[in-house]
Amino acid sequence: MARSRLIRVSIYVASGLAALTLVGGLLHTPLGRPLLARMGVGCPVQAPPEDVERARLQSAHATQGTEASPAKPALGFVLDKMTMSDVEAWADHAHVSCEEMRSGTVLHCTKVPESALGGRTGGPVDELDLAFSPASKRLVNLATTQYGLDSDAATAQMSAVVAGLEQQLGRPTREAGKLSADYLASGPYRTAVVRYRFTDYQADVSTTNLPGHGIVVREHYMSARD
Amino acid sequence: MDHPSTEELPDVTPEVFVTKFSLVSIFLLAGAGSVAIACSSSTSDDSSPAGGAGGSSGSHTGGGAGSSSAGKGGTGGGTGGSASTQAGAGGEGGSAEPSTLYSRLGGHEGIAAALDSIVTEELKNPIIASYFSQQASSLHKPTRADIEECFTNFLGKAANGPELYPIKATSGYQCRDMATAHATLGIGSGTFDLFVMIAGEELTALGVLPDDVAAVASALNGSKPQIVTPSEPSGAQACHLPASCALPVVGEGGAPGDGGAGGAQ
Repeated sequence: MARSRLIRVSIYVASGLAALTLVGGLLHTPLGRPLLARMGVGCPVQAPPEDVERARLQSAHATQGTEASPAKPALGFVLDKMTMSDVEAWADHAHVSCEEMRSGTVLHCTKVPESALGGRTGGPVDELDLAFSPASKRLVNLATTQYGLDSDAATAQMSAVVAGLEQQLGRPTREAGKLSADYLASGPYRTAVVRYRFTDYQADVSTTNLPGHGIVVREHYMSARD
Repeated sequence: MDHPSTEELPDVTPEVFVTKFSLVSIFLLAGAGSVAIACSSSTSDDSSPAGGAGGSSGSHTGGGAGSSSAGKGGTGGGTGGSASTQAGAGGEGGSAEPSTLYSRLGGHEGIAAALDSIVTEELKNPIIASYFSQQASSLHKPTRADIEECFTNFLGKAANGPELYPIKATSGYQCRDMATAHATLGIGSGTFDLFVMIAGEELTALGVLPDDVAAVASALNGSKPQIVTPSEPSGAQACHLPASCALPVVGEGGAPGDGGAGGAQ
């Protein structure tokens, strides 16, 4: 009899939990989310990694060049080859702090020393995001951000990065803005952009006078292969 | 989930127990499923960190953004590609520059084309992409075209164009105000700044004049208080999982605090 009561209680508890789960689910629907927001809670789950990767490839195809890249420089990382485990081993070796995001398809690293980035110079990188294909599990996309530089340092940094890319890739596909310290310091959102577009690889280097963040240097390297 | 053996349940007939337990299982699965489905469509409300407001003006066809897809909007494809054709590229052709930001951006069509290029570049960023990516599927509302059309009208209005705000997009999707559209996305200040920075880079690559890039950025920043969730991390990382919310803030700075929508001329 006691066991019967226990079972009945268990069923009620399970039903209650199920009901709560259902309510939680409903709160995350388009109709329920405003109520969730009013409660001070957001829906923390963003797009599935497969959708993110599909969108990335669509964008890559929309902007791809006409020739294959002679090389795929990516700060010492190997696109289309390295796995999450490889990168985690790199992080351990370089004493870099990284955090997995988005179901293990993005690794977000902070304060990455220049010595860990394939001979790069110019000081540590504040943020490094590495994205892996959900299908192949290989590294396909990485971006760095370096905040708080002055215009001279940012100009020197971007010039050095671009010089390194030119050695391997030749002349950029696109150069825009103006890479000079005076120009970058002359107003908010003054920007210099250098882009490489190949059929199988893309690289971007930019410098922006970002209000509140000083001059920011961004590097972006990604595979454009399916 | 292990079902207890019926031998252990002398006071409950197997049929009744199985029925009750199956119902509970179905209930649990339905609940879990609804969470998964709901959250996986969390960007079905205007999901661009700075987009999604505005509406299609009756005086415009809306075709510029409406016809957009990921297959257009390239910037400098091939070698030495000129990227100055889409955004109106102020000063092009050597004639006197148009006197308003709106006209220098190429009017409604120029803004729509520029936004298509901007979204294309934003989707390449590992952090920003998760806010947009479901628009790669035509099954989600708003579609990418909806977002771009809403966004075009928002920027058109901010640039003192004739666009109205907010009204329905061509597809019938109702563009909403910034606060409503982004209320539950949990966009941090750093993520917003990253979005604006990428937009500025793309406008620069498109040949938009530096002052006009700054004006557009200021217009976007004017919507920052409505878009950013104050409790989210200020760094450029998005809060995709609770663990990532605790990451240290890097490169934090105050909000630019410049500009406001509508003042950019």
